[in-house]
Order: sequence, then C-alpha cells, then structure tokens
Amino acid sequence: MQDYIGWVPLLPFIGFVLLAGAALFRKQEIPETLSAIIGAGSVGLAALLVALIGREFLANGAEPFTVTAWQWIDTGGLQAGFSFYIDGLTLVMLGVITGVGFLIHLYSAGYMRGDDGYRRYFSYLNLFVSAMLILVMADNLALLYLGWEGVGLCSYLLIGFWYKDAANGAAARKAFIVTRVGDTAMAIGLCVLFMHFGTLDIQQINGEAGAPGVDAGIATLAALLLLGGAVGKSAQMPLQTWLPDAMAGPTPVSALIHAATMVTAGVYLIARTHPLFEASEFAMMAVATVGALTLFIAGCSALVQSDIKRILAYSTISQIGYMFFALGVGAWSAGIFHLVTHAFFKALLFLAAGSVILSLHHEQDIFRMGGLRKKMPVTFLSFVIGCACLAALPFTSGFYSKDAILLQAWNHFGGLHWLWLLGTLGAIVTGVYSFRLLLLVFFGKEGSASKHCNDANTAIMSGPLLVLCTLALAGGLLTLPLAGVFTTDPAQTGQLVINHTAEIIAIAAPLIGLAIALFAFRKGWFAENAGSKTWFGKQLAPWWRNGWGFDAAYDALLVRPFTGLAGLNKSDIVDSFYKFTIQVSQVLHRQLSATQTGQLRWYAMTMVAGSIFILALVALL
Amino acid sequence: MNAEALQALTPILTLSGVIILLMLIVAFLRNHRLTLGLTLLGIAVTVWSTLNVSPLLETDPIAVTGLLVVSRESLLFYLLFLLSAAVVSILAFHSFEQGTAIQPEDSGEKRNKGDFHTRPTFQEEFYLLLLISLLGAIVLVSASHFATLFLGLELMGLALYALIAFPAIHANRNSRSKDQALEAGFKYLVLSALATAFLLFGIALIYAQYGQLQFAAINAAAAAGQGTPVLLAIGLVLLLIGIAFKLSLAPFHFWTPDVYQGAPTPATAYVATVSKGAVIAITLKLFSDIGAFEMRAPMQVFAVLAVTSMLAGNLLALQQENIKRLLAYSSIAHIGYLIVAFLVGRQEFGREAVIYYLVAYIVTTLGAFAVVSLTADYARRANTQSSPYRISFYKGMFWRSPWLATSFTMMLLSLAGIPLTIGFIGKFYIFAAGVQAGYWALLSAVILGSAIGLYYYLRIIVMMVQRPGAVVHDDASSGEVSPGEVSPSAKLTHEGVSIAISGQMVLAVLTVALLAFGIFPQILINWIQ
Repeated sequence: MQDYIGWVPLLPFIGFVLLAGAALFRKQEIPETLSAIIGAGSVGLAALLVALIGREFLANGAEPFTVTAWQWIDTGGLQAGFSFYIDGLTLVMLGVITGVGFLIHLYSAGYMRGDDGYRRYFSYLNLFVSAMLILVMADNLALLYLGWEGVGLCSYLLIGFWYKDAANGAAARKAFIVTRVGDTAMAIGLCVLFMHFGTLDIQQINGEAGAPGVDAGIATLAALLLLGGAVGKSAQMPLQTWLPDAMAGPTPVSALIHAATMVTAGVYLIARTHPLFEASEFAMMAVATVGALTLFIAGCSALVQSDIKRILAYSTISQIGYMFFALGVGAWSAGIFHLVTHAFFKALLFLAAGSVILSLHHEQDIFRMGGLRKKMPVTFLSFVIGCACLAALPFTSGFYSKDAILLQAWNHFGGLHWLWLLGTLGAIVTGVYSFRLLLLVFFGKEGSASKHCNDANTAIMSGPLLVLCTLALAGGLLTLPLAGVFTTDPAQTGQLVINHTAEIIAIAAPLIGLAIALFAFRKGWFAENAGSKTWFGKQLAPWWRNGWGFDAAYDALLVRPFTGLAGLNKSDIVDSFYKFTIQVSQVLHRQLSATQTGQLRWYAMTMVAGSIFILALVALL
Repeated sequence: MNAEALQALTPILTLSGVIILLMLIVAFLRNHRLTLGLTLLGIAVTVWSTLNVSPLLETDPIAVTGLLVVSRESLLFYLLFLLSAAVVSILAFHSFEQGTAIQPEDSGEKRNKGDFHTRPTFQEEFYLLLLISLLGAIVLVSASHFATLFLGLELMGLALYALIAFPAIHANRNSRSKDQALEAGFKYLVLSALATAFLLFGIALIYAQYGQLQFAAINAAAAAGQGTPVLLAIGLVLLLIGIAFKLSLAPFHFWTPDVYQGAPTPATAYVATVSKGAVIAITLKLFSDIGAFEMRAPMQVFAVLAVTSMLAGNLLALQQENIKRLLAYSSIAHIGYLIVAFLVGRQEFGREAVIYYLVAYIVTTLGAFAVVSLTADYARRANTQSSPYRISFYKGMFWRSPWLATSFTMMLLSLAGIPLTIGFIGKFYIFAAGVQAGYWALLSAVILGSAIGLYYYLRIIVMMVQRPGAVVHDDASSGEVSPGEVSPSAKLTHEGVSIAISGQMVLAVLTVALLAFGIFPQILINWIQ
C-alpha cells in the first residue's frame, strides 16, 4: 500500500483538474451533485487511502519511509524531488487533513447548495487539500514550500470567494500580503539552510542540526526565519491580523483552512524541523514567547467580539498560540496532540456556527441571537461539545491536550514562570469566552434574528457535525504514533514528571472560567451595552475588540507611509523621460509625415537630393 | 551550352512556357477560374522542375553561358517567390470576385455587386502580368552579369507598373480609386525610371573601368589592379541608389506608401515581398561576387541607409491610420533591419541571417496583406460604407471574425519580433550578426526602431480585441490622413459573412509556417545552409 502514497495528494488534484477543467468542455455548469461527488469523493478516497496506509504503517512498527515520484529540480547542487517522507507526524497530519477535510467537504455540499460558484468552490477546496497534503508529505523544504504557497493561494481564492463584494477582495488581499511577509522570511530561511547545509532535504538538515557541534548562530538565524514563516501562516503575533478578516470566506472554508488545517502548517513546520529549533535556546524561547503572548492577546480579543465567526477566529489564533507555546517548551507531541484535538473541535464549532448563520439568514451578530437551543438541537449539541472542548473541561479532548501543554511548560521552566502564568490565565479566559458564546447564542431571551430561525441543517450537514462531535469528545483517548519522531520529548521517552500542583491548577482554570461566565451571564454583564460607562467598556473593550490595535498600528506605520511614498513617486522623473520620448516620437512623426506630400516632383527631387547627400557622404568619408 | 546547363535552366524555361501557353489560352477563352487554376498549375510545375534541378547542384553552381548562374541558393529563392506568387494569385482571385482589386480604395459611392460583372473585364491579364514579373524576379536572382541583372529587373518592374495600375484599365469607371491606382502606377514608373538611370550610370562607370559586365570578371580585374578603385566604388554607390529605391530605403522611400495604398492589395503584397526579395537576393550575390563587402564606401552608404530607414520607417508608421500605408512604412523599417545583417554578408553567418530574415519578412508580410485583402473582400461582401483599409475598421474584429483576427495578431507579433514567431528568430539573427560584427550604433537603431514598432503593431492588436461599441481612448491622429468615422465597424451587420475557404487555407498555411519556423527554426536553417 505504501507505494500508493503519491495518490493521496494526486486524488484531490485530479478532482481540482476535473472541476476546473469542466468549464472548458461544457458551456453550462455541471450539475451541483456531480461537483459535490467529484469534490468530496476525491478527498474521501484520499482519506480511505490514508487509513489503509496508516494501518499498514502501524503494523510495520511505524518505520518511516520515503517514496519518490520524480526528480523535480536538479541544478547546481540543489536537488529536490517530488518525494514524500512518511513518518508518524506526517501520518497524523494526513489523517487530520483528509479526515476532517472530507467531513467539511460533505458539509459544504449541503451548505453551499444553490451558490453560483458551486463548482468553483469545490475546485478551490480540492486544490487546497492537495497543496496541504504536499506540504506535510514533502521530504524536502523546496517541495514543502510549493505546498506552503499553494495553500496560501487557495486561502486567497477562498477568502475572496464571494468576490463581488469589494470588502471580501480586500480581506483576501490582506491575508495574502500579510502571510507573504512571513513567507519571505521563510524563503530567506531556506536559502540560509541551503547555504549552510548544502541541501534542502529535511531529514538531512535535522540530522546535521541535531548533531553536536552545530553552529548555534546559524541554527538560531535559520530557526528564527522559519519561525517568521510559521507565524505568518499560523496567524501568530505579530502577523495575526489577517485571520479575523479571513472570515469573509464561506464558513466551511473557515472551518477547513482557518481552523483545522492550513493555519496549523506553521506548527507542523516547526515540529518537522524541531532538531533545528532545539539547537538554539533562543529560538525555542522565541517560539514559546510568541505562543504565550498570542494566546493571551487573542483570548482577550475573543472575549469582547460580537460576531460569531470573529470569536471563533480569535479563539483559533489563541489555540494555535497554545500549540506554539507547547513547541517552544519542547512539548512536541503535546503540541501536535493539541493540533489534532483542535482540528476536531474547531471544525465542529465552525461548522455549527455555519449552521447557525445559515439558519438565521446570514446573521452573524451574537447579540441578535439567543435562545436557539430548542430550535436547533443538533447544532446546540455540537456547540456544547465544541465549547466544552475549547474551554478544556475535564474529560473532553481539549482537556487532555491543553493539560499536557501546561504541565510540560511547568516542568520546562522548573516552576513558576511568567509564560506559564500567561498560559494558565489564557485557559481561564478561554473558558470565559467559550461559554459567553454558548450562553449568548443558545440561552437567554430570543434575539431579533432568532425569531426568524429556520433550521437549515440537512442530513448531509448534520452527519459531519455528529461525527465531529464524537471525535471531539473521544479524541483525547487517541494515542498518536509520535514516539519515533520526537525522541527528545519527555512525554515520549517516559520521563514525564507529573507535578500535582500544576495539574490541579490546569484542571481548575477552565472551571474557573466557566464559573465566571455563568456568573457574568446571570448578572447580565455580557449584554450588548453592559458596562459601556465603565473604564473597561470605554477603553479596554474597544481596544481588545480591534485586536489590540495591531491593525491600526500597521496601518499607521506601514500602509500609510508606503502609499504616501508611492503617491509621491507617481509623477517621477522616470515617467517624464517616457513622456518626453513619446512627445519626441510624435513630433518626428508629424514632421516626417509632412514630407509625404504625394507630389511626384517632390519625390523625384528628394531622390536627387538623397543621391547628392550620399555621394557627398562618400566623398567626405 | 551543354545539356547540364540547359537542365539547370528548366525552371526559367518552364515558367516562360507557362506564360506563353496562358497568353494563348486567355486570347481564346476568358474564364477567371480557369486562369487561376492554370496559373497555380504552372507555378506547381515550375516548383516541380526547380526541385528536379536541385540534385544537380549538390556540389557546385552551374553557370549558364556567362549570363546566368544557378545555385542552390537561387533555387531557394525560386521556391520562395513561386510560393509567394501562388499566394498572391489566390488573393487576387478573391479580390476580383469581390471587385476590390479594381477598386482598392473605397470611394464611398454606392456599389452594386452585379455592376462589375456585367461589363467585359480583363482580370485574366493580372495573372499573366504576375507570372511575367515572377519570371523577371527569377531571372534577376540568377543573374551573374549586369545585362541579365538589368533585364531581370526591368522585366520584373515593367510588369509591376501594369499590376499596380491594374484598376485603371477599366476605363469606363470614373472613380477616385481608379485615379489612385493610375497615380500609383505612374509614380512608380517615373521614379523607377529615375532610379534606373542611376543604376545604369553606375554600371556604365564600372564598365568604363574594366570593360567587363560579368560580376566575377570585374572582381578578377579589380583584384589584378586594373582601373581606379575610387571609380568602382562610386559606380557601386550609384548602383546602390537604384537598388535602394527598389528596396524603398530612406531617403528613397517616398513612393512606397502611395504605391502600396493605390495598388490593388494583392499587387501590393507582391511589390512588398517578391520584388523586394529578388532585389535583396541579387544584391547579396552581386556584392559577394564583385567583392564589394571589402569596400568601404558602399558598405558605409548601406549602413547610413539602414539607420535612416529603420528610424524613418518606424516613425512614419507611428500614428498612421491607413493599414496599407502603415504596412508600407513598416516594410521600410524591416528592410532597414535586414540591411544590418546584410553588412555582415561576407561571412556565412551573415548570409544566413539575411536569407532567414528575408523568408521571415516574406511569410509575415504576405500573411499581413492576405488579412488586409480578405478583410476588404468581406467588407465588400457585407457592403459596408466605411473604408476597410482604415485601422478603425479593425476595431472589435476579434469578436466578428476571430480567425482572421488571430492570424493577423500572429502576423503583427511576428513583425514586431515577439518570440515563438518566425519574426523573432529573424530579428534574433540580425542581432547575432550585428553583435558578431560589433555594429553597436546600428544595433541601437534596431532596438530603437523595434521599440517604436511595437507601439503601432500592438495598437492594431488592441484595436482588434476591443469590444465593438467600447469607448476608445485613442488620441492618435495622423498628420496625413484625417481620422475615420467613429467606430465604423459598429455599423457592420454581416453576421454569417465568412471568408472564402481557399483564403482561409492560405492564411492557415502562412500562420502555421510562421509558428512552425518560429518554434523550430532549425528546419529552415538547415534548408538555407
């Protein structure tokens, strides 16, 4: 089976080609059902293939293997093939991408019904899945970069999917440009790695970086540059600003790309090259700091949002912050574990939010919702499970992963540390905003939009929701085959010391959050205009709501000066040179045209004059 | 004259026979379709005989008496001219059928299709004249003697005057277009006479020095130290003036736009391709036989003419509104480019570059004029009131007749020298030749000219892809011709009007050749070598 691994990215790609190419051969749109079958079917087949390969892989003792499809680049010492490296980490990612991806495709088939761009939607989605699979399967950084840019492109296409609204186009451009900042850093990082190690093969680089005596300066530089790419793609500080705006795309897209898969690419990249990061104390600390700050900042922002999707967007940023935090403290497998459970419950939450939005006729303001629990039972169930996992209540999947992160962070820092404190505070905040969302949408009085609620869940939408519910609840019991990948992780080597104080605090934090949320809801503090007179409502809440002013700062520091400079340069000296050329050409043209009089005598005369000129020339030279 | 020499002469003899036969047939039986068929058949037979001669010339060229030399290179030109003439005759056929050939420039008056066919016409003579001119061209490229050179040149030219002024023979037709054709023919005749005077004077000067008219003999005599080199150089320069006129190199280019515009489009295509190609070919031969590549004066004159032509041609075409005049100016520039390679003609690579560029120029120019001619034909059939020779007529053409517009786009891109077309390889050759010889000043003129050229070629392409009825911001206006009516094409209502199958095939063949030689230049390079 392992030889067929190449078909995993190829199947969705074939789906993309079929869907995109359909327009070339048929003047009319192909039927929606056919689009859905091609779109979801190709990913479903890929998921099946991954499952079969995974079973064989585990049966063989989780031995990593490489499959080369063909040589892609072979020039000047740089060799990069379409070759795939499969180990436990890759397999986990493959499972998440194809499995969760397939469920989201299924859900989309119902959600997008009736949209003009139905076929286009599925073609983009398939291309995205294909690119993401290439990203995680690549055995060299060049191929990884191909997948990396591929998912960036698809993200751009899908955020701007409803391109007729100019705001969506702007959001798409923002996502593309902001992540491009990170991508540039990453590209430079690849160059640094290639210059130093003479290869882009990931296992070789890992091997050399893990060996003693590696140049710490180079390792730090390369790791920080890769981190730059990762924070861009994974929406971490300081490049997190694109993700909330990316909610302009269709909701299942947010579920697939901006929660479950693409944004975790940064986490995957760091985990994949972890020996490089381990070689640099500074880089590890940087990853942990980025993660801890992001998780706290984004959590606070989520606390004050009023748009259901923006709350989830900020919670995504915050949860990925946890993953980065985990990576930074060397809790590699805990980070990946959180990636997996997060993929389950965040996909669940986004899809459930999609159902709410669709049922309320595209209403996204949570203050106009409320009391929906009776009207939408399946969605309500999904939300309860999703929020419980997000908040990491005990015995949900989110609990197992987040608990492991906080525990290992405590061990890593050897006791109390401000980053650990941030993480724990973040857990409380997470509990508060999760249940604020749940309570405002499904409990309390019916809002203005709830009255027109019309449960839009069809079987094809409820099915994936229920499957994801099960996964989100039971996901914590999974054992990921990561032992062979993260050999330095104490959780994998069995050296994990369990500190009971930290353990208790980690369990208590989400419960405290829940309690605060319930209390505040009772008191009415979550109401739309509650506390607008206080310092919190006047100063802090708007600041947090706007993402701690990052957008405004970038606008003032970068965008405005840049457009200003560009405006200054509009009528520059170079332009005037071209204008001058045009004018000279036109003048010469007119003067020469004037010589074409059409008179024979004049023509004969010019011939004679020309001859004299030429003879004079000969005489002179 | 031995049997081998006679055999080497078969293409010329065959073509002469065809002409006499056709003349006799036309005298007794006037049938347009039959005449075209016979013309094409005659050309095919001549092509066949040319191909038969080729094995004879594996090693050496064959000298036929002292007057002609048949080499593999001249056979290549034979084929090129024969095929061009075939294209021209097919275009002429369509033009006559639609009546555009005898009325090349629209006079704005009301036309009736039947009007033209009711009175006796003499369209068959067009093919006869075409073949005679073609014979002249073939004789010209095989000349090795000033007498044959003059004979070929005049045979080609005399038939050409009639071809250009062809619409004028319809004496009962009193229109501006008839006058224009007559004017064009007359201008060409008078100015040619003037040019020929220079040419003959040049030949006379050379003859006065060496007492020889054969190229090789003159070279031998000059090498032996006879005569005055200065007079030889001056003779060559005078000769060059005559040649420059035929090639319409600036400042001897003034006739070009008027003649191109006034002549029936197929005749224009012939003037632009075969007539110029033959002169280039013989000049190349004359210069290498007589050793003129080693002489300073003629080469410098040529270099100056090349620069002036490149600049003047492109600048004149810049805002031209009449497509035939635009192509005329563009041809001036193109011959200018060609001369750059010609200056390196002493070396094998330079010759190769000249021939390659010539083939590229002929294929592309024929294609461009084919589009112009077919467009005019179909405009005639659609009975439009606006002139089909205005650039504005091409507005939105891509949406009306995508096939014509696509081929025209190819031709224009090739003229502009965009990669994947034959024109690019041709221009690349020019650059390579120029760089090899280190002609930096000339090359910068080539670059400058090409940059200007891009503007007016692309302008037509942009015009063609505009949606009909779209507002155009085209501030270009010519100093010569006042701009046409606003969007004349919008008035066209000719759904279902299509161009004839044979015309489409001609275009298809030319487009395919243009792309094929643009993508796989090696095929053509091998033939040339």
